[in-house]
Amino acid sequence: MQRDLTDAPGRAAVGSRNKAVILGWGQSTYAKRTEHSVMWFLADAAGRALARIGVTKDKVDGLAVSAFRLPPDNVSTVAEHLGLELNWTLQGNQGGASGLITVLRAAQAIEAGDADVILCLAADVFTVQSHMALMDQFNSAMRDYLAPLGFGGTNGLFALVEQRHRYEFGTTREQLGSIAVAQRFNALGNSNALFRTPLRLDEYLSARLISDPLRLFDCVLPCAGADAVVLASESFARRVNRPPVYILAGDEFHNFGAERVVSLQTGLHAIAGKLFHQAGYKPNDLDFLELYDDYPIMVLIQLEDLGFAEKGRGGQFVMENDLTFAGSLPLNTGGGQLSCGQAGASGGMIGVIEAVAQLQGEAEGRQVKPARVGLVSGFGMVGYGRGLCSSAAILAR
Amino acid sequence: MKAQVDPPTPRVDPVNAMFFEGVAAGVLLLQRCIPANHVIFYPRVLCPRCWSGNLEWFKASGVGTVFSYTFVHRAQHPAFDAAVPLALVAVELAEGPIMIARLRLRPSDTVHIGMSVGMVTPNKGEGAGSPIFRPI
Repeated sequence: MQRDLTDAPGRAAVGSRNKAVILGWGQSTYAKRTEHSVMWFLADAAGRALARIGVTKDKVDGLAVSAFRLPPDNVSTVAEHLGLELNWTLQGNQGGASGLITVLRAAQAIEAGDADVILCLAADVFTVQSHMALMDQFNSAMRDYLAPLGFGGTNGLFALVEQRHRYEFGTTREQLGSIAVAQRFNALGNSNALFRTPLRLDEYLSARLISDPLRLFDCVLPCAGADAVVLASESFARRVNRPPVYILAGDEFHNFGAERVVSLQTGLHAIAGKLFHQAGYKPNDLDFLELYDDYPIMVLIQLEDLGFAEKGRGGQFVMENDLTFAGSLPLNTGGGQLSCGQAGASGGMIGVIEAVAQLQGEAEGRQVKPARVGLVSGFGMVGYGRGLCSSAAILAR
Repeated sequence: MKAQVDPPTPRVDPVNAMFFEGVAAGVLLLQRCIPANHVIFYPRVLCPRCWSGNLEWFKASGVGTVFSYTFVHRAQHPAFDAAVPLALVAVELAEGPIMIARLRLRPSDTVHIGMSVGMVTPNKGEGAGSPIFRPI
């Protein structure tokens, strides 16, 4: 793989012989309750993705899977169950950052010549109760030093973040609410969003307290669903009649701010500069953003980390912009997890498929015009107080 | 009458046992890396700064200031259904680390970032392995 070492180092280097493209996407029907298993959802999204791009399963020679509730299964047993014989597999293990990271690694595998057509899947089956139970056992630090406290799950932890952001910078509930309200507007055009009624700011402000200051509409609904992306080499892609989507830049960071507990930054802060440099764009050049939205405060923090606003001025920034899909800075154009639901690890892939849909002109009901270039982020794997993993990519048609 | 559900308990092991012994007695025991002179929380197998295994336990002041706080209204586990709203606090300990803990409040107490808190002995039923602080 050729790399131009005079540029800032980056990932998914462009210009190689086997440059990887994203061919298409698929998404299962999200559900609040289901009798289906994680395996069923993985298979369902995979089938929809391949059907969309008109490729048969025998062409797939690489598979990535991200799903919290996959054990005792793993990517190999998923291959077995789905009848796939593969030259490359990967299991995402970075929480909500997994989906995008598996896509970046798949692109690198294709560019290295390790595989030709890779299916990247994310799926989960959750309810509020089962998600809380997972958080109590999510890792040893949470099991031993948070669960016994009655910490309230991730709601408690990110309430600490919002409270501190408000203390340091004066970020208001109205500013955060504007994010939730705009995203819900975007969801009206997404037939697969679980919440498709408009959300008013006064409803957001007066909703039931979950973990003060977080209220009901700050929180995602754990649900069941799956999201899938298909990547292929450019030479394979030429045989398929799909508008290719290119990964101009992609990167990740883990344990940013080692030993912080309540952090007002994510790993995006460490990678944003070289991400934009490698892509050849500035933040204001982007046509849309799909940011990991477990909570509005984390969307705001990511906007700061990416350089849209100085640290602490994210609140002013969102008030100065129209975040709806036809607005000045389209954000989470399908409604995000806050409107669609969070199907576990799929929450880290829903932004990827929305970005691909936008770039391929398939975001019916919420199409950004023009949609030439956009950014996707992933975030998650909460440890002792903060999300440990971040990922971001700039995609273009 | 609803049966009392047991709260989640920590897995106590040789690395963290001293911390939990201290918690039960209302005493803050922390690890310090001797070569790096770095105080560590949560308990670790080695120093996260320099990777030395030369760690010692010491009795910390038990005092800190509130770095952030929340009132948990929706319990993450049925054992806490009766305890909500439950005061959760991130304490910036005098020795450096930030620790997430429970805050025990009297009805007249308020909470604000920057206020001083001190570790106390847990009452029966306040949760095994839960460090508890109160305003001081």
